[in-house]
Amino acid sequence: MRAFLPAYDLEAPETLDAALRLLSGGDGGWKPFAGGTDLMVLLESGKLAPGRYVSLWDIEELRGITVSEDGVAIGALTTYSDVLAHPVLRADFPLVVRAAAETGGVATQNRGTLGGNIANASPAADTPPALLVYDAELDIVSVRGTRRVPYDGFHKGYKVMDLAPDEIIRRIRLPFARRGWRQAYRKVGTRRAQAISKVCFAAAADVRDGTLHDARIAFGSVAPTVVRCHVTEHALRGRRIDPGIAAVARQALTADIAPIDDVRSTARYRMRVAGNLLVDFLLNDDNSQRPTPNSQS
Amino acid sequence: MADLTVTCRINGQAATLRGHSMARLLDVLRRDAHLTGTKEGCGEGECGACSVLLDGRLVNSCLVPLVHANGAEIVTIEGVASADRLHAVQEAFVACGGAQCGICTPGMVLAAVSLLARTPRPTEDETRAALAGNLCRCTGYMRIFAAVVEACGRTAEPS
Amino acid sequence: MKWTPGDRSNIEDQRGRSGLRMGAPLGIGGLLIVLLLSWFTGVDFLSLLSGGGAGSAPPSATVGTSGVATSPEEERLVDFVDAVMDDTQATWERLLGGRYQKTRAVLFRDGIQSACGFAESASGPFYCPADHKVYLDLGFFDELRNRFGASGEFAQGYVLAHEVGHHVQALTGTDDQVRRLQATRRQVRERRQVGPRRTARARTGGRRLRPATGRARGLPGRLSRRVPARVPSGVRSPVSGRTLGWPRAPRAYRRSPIARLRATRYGEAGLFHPWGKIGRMPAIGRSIPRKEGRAKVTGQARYVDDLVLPGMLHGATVRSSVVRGTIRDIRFAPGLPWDQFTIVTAADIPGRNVVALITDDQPYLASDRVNHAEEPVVLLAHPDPVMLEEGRRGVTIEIDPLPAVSSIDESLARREIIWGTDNIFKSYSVASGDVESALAAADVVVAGEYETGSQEQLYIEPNGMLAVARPEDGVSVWGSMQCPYYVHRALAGLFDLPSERIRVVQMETGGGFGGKEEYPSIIAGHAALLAWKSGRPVKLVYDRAEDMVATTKRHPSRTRHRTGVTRDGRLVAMDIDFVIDGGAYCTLSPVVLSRGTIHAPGPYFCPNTRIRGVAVATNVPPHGAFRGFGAPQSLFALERHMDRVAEAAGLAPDEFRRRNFIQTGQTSAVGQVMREPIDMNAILARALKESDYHAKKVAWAASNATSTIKKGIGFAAFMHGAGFTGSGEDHLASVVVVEATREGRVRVLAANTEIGQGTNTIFSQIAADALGISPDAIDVAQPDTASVPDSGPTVASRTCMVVGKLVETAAAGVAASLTGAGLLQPGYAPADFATACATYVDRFGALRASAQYQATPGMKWDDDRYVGDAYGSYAWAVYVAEVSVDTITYEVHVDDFVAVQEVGKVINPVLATGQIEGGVAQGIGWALYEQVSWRDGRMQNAQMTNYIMPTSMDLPPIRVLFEEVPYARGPAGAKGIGELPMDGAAPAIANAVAHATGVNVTAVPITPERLMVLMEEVTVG
Repeated sequence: MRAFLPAYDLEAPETLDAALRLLSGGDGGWKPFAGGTDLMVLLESGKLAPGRYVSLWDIEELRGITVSEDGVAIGALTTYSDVLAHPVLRADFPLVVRAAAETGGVATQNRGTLGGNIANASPAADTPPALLVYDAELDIVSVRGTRRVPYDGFHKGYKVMDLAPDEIIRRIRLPFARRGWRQAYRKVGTRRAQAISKVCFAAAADVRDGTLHDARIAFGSVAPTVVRCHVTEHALRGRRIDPGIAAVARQALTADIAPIDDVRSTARYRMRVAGNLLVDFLLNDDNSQRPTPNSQS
Repeated sequence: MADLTVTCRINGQAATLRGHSMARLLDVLRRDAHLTGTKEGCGEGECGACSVLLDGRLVNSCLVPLVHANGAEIVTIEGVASADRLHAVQEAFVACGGAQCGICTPGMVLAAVSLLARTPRPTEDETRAALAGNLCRCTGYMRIFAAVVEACGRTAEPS
Repeated sequence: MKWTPGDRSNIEDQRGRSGLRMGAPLGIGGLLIVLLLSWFTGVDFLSLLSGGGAGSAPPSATVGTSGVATSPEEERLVDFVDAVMDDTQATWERLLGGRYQKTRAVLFRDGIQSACGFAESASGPFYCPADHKVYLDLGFFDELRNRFGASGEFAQGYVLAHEVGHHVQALTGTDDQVRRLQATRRQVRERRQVGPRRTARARTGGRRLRPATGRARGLPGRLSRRVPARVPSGVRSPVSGRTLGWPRAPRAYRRSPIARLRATRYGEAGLFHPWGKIGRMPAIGRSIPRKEGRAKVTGQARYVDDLVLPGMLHGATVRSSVVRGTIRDIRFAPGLPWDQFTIVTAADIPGRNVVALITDDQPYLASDRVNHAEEPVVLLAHPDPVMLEEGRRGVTIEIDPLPAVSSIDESLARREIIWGTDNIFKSYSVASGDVESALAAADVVVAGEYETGSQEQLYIEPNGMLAVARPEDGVSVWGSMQCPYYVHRALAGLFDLPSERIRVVQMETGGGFGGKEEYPSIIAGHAALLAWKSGRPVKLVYDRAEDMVATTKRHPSRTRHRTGVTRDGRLVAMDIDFVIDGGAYCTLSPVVLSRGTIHAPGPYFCPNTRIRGVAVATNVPPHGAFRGFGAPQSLFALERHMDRVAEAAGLAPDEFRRRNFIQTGQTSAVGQVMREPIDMNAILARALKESDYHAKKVAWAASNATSTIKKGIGFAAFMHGAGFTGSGEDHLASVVVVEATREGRVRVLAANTEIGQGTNTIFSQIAADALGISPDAIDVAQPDTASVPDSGPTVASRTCMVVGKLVETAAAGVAASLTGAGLLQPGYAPADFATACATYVDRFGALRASAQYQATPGMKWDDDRYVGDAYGSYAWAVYVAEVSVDTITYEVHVDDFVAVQEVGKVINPVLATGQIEGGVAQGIGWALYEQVSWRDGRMQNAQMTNYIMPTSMDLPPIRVLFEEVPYARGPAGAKGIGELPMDGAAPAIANAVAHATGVNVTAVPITPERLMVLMEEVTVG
């Protein structure tokens, strides 16, 4: 343990109100803490910013998945294991389920949360590309009230979010908007488990009669934030699915993503593979999302 | 208040743990509860050597702050065998060569126990996925898979 | 019988050689002789034995040297032996004609090193099938006369003829049958159903021996080495035999051609132990559960970090952070309570500031110069680990930087000299024949350059030590390690203390793989320095990040090949240039280089070979031991290259290799005549069959054309020498002690550590069979230099083969003491052993025997010219990998893996299989996933998150198959096994990827990034 523990504090209120009051306190400096799968790693390595943290773990109001006619509302503290076990998510949001299954191992899936995965704001996070494909919205709450924002656009830059210091994510809403669309999710991380993405790809396309009518395309690990590829979606909309679409897709993609070299991979690899994944998705129908293996929670 | 006292149950016994609220459950178990069967392999939730069951779910105790143990039911490797009798998974690990150097073994055994509790007859894919958070450098996992298969049979037998 | 002195041509006189002396008055072989003599003459000598008075002096093991003090009587005896041998052999030559080859009687005193192992007078006369010689201590004739009244030349002649009979058995291949018959006979004797049998066995060499009870089928005493171990592959349970059908149903075991071929050579496995394994299954060859398994699955096993001592401090290391430079100042941040800390710098070292190993170049603590970025400079200790971290952050080491060297090429360019006069730790040059002429004359010449990367051992338990050290008491350390006596020697120098004041104890060790071979000496020294200065116990355990950045890793390598072949695919020239990056200090680089160099030409015969091996210095933390020890590097290059040579020669990879495999009797590049049976063709055939190699090649040629997933299959053929290279084992001269308690429990005392590979268990099995008791009655002592002898380091696949043999010999010494004292009869039951121990201990005191490694007769190694018998034995293997290459992501996955190897006798099939599977897993990691990212001399990805080792999702079914050709000098015929599996996976996978994609893979790891570049080049080109 490389952290100097006396430099930290961690309070664990049991109600949302109590947590929000702490976060809004005049002295400031309180930061939210969920399942600990990211922050405890930083703590161990001595890289967690010293200060006061509010544990959200015991707050029941942040849990639970509710299903309505329009879609599902997923509490921010929903763990990956909860996602894997949920029949509606498995049926209608296979990309989120796939992302959850490919995040960490069982122990991480039991502690890691969707809200935490978003608010940690890692560009390599696994569920955000899937959420972008499903046109997710976020309910954001503070003592000042609740607001709902589209998830697309929530990440403003590297680790910069549309989230005030006193706010937390309360739930994630996913509309039933992709039924009948071709969908794909692919995490590229060299090994098949416990990987951090080099490239993370999620996409859905409304393909009928050989024409792509609409699409959602999102990537992780190829830009300072997870990105939805608006330029590419626009370029592809209304096109025939034929070999000629590949060059269009690859060209458009360069406007949406800006990969870099880092300890995990190279910019060249990321750009190339992102294009490959997209082209393969467009041209090879049989690579669409298959059923997710049984829950491992 | 950074320092706190939590009450919980460890291996079926009521326990009181004291420490910094953000202290790693791993350290508190090892140093204060003297349960050194829980091992530290990486400190980053990657290797699974520190796995324990927290309210019946497998977790990495290096990533659990002490405050989250309040009121919890914790099972460590020391609580897997009952009295003198090994758990079927433990027996199978010994018999099948599932343990070599032994450092990943406590976590691996708990991951397998956790798997079989949920899925008594796991498929290969399910077994591989359930153990993916527990790294083993000695075995190449093959003997561990064999142990899981073996334990399925043992748990199925009336005991 | 009348005889006259001859020329003594039947005699090899070794009476003047020193050896280990066993005081037991009559040994095991002797008892057999007496027994047979009883039958033959009708005199019940056995009753005389139990009447005893034998061993009035307490038998004990002592090491001594005896000169050749002889007498006219003894010389007459020598002539007599010669004459009897001459006569007996003449008779056999008449009977067998050309099939008979002459043997010789080796006369010795006290102890002798035979090719079958070390033997003492206590062993009695014996025949060693490995060197085809009869061994005899003339004192045995005195025993015959004095104790049994069997005086006279007839009895003596009988003894000699009997041993020559064994020779005939070996020549005619009937020894195996006889052993089984002996077991039968002992069974029968136990049931008191037969009396003395007076067949003249000596005359017939046992051939006429037909037991009245029929064949020995199914008897417990039957040794089943004809049947190789049934090793569960895939996930079949070795206990219930159940399979759930995944990941792949194991193939039915098929006895291999090689097993049939070699079965009759079984007797070479060692001495003929007369007592056999009566009334119990032999422990060897069975998968008895791991000795410490229960402790490990219950969390009770104690590792160093589990230890807490009263008043203990925690230690930390402050490191250079600059790659190369001169230390200007060490500053301590104001505001920290430095008076609470123990602070150690180089100035505090009481002895020599050198980590003793091969070359005295590495300091324990840098004092003026740093040579890599993780070099230790300051040590801190504090009672509170949290404060300790604050302290570590509060120390600043100011360093004036110097130019650094970061690669093999830079080091060889010598623009900056960072080590010695030329940046070279060690170089070797090996040559046979005339390479240049042969290359010039070759029909095809293929050149290639290959690279391998660094690899972290990544044992799951990080390195750590706990030390107690005080000037008045000396220094004691407990910790995670492979080699207690390496640590011991290093500490003695560091503290300038006599060795008896240093104590090193190995705790349970959570994996080593070479990574805990040399570095523990540094951590132990650091912990002890802090303890010495503070007067309190100090625990110094690395966290994962520190372990990864600071401790040793596998040497990166670069190998260049130029290979000449004839039009019909015969190797005529191999020119190999092998360079490894040793890092900033020498550590073990010379020996890593040595092994890599010797293995570089692989399992092939080539009349003209030249190998240059060089280990260079760079400014990265020193590279060191890692499973395989240089061999995986040079074998990767070789086996990838051989596929390319085959292609250039227009041959299939397997056919090219078949034409070039080295055969028994041929000479290796370093001049070793291969005496052991080698059958690489059989191993290759079995591996290709098990993997369905040829059919898959055909099928995929079609399916790959239309799929984004390209399938490929490739293999590698290789060998691995067991034990230290060359004369290394002679210099080590390892010692093992076996002792028995009054209660009949036996303790093996050796310095070899259990690091997961099964030392405790296999030592127990070996000792159990040597003693004829259950392995449950054997304890293996915790390695503690205060109580165990120096049996050498736990490295180089030597623990089973070399040290295990010593365990077998020492255990046999214990048994011999009991039988020699008349307390045990041949064919005793395990329960009798305990009774005998009690009597023995009451009568004589301690019951101990030791065994020391002796140079193998006939094995020669020239360290200067680097030629000779490099290894006593080799394990041989062919590994086949089946891969999928995803052309969307350039990711490679291994789908199936077949590992066929010949490793001598398999002591414990489950443990051995686990060794192979684990080694293959590490090889797969090295081939595909594991990459150390260096930047400015520091490891950038020192987290398990970013240094990618395989998970349970990534590994294929690993199907492990053994061939067993017993090795005469290994315990029960076992060879080394631990390192072998590291050698084959990477080249097999590289060849499979090349097959799948058509690109020339020349480096590992084959990361997706690298493969993408290669495949794009092909597409563009």
